Amino acid sequence: MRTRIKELRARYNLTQEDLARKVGVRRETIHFIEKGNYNPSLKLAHHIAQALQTTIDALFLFDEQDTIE
Amino acid sequence: MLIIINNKLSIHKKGEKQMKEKISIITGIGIVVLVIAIAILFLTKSSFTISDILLVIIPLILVIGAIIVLWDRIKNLKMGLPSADERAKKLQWKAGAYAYFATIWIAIGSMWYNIIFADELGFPALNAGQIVAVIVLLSALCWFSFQLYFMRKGDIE
Repeated sequence: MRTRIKELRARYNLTQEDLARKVGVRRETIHFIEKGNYNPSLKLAHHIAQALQTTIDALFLFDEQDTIE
Repeated sequence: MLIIINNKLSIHKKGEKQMKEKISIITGIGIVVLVIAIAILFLTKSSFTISDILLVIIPLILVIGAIIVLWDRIKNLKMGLPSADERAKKLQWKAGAYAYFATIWIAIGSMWYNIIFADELGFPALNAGQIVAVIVLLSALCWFSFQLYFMRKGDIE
C-alpha cells in the first residue's frame, strides 16, 4: 500500500507533527503510515483524509499484489 | 446547535482523556520514587544473598523500563500529542501476547536448567523463589523488548 500523505502534507504546508496533532495520534504513527509500514484503522484513515481535505481512496493507493492476510 | 453540542462533548472527552493521562503519569512517577526509596533502604543491609540481589535487580529493571515509558509519554504530552494512540495500544497488546508465550518457555527452561545444568553438570541449583524471580524478571524484559522492537518496526501483522 502506498499513500499520498506526504504529498498532501507538503501541499498544505503541514509537518508530521502538525498532522499528528490534528488527528490525535503520535508523530511516529504518521511517519509509519507514510512509509507504508502501518495500516491505520478505518477511523484513523477517515480522520487523516478529512485533515488533508481528501477522501480515503484518493489518499491510500493499493497495489494489485496487496492481499488480505 | 447539534454541532455545538457535539463539539462541547468532544472537548469534554478530550479533557477527560488528558486528565487520565496526567493521573497515570503522576501514579507512575509515585511508584518509581517508592520503589527507588525501598531499594535504597534495602541496600543499606550489610550482607546479601542471591535472592536479595534478585529482589533489588527486578524492581530496578522494572523502574528503568517505567522511567523510559514515562519519559516518552511526558515528551508527547508536552508536544500536545497523545501519550498512546491506536498503534501504540495495538503493539502493547501484541508485545504482551508474545511475552506471555516467552514466559511459558522461560518457565520450561528454568525447570530444565535445574534438571540438566544443576543435577547433571553441577551448576548451582535454583530454588522456587529464585525461579519465580527469574521468570518475573525475564518476562518483564521480554514484554519491554518486544514493545520496543515493534514500536521501531512500525507494525506487526
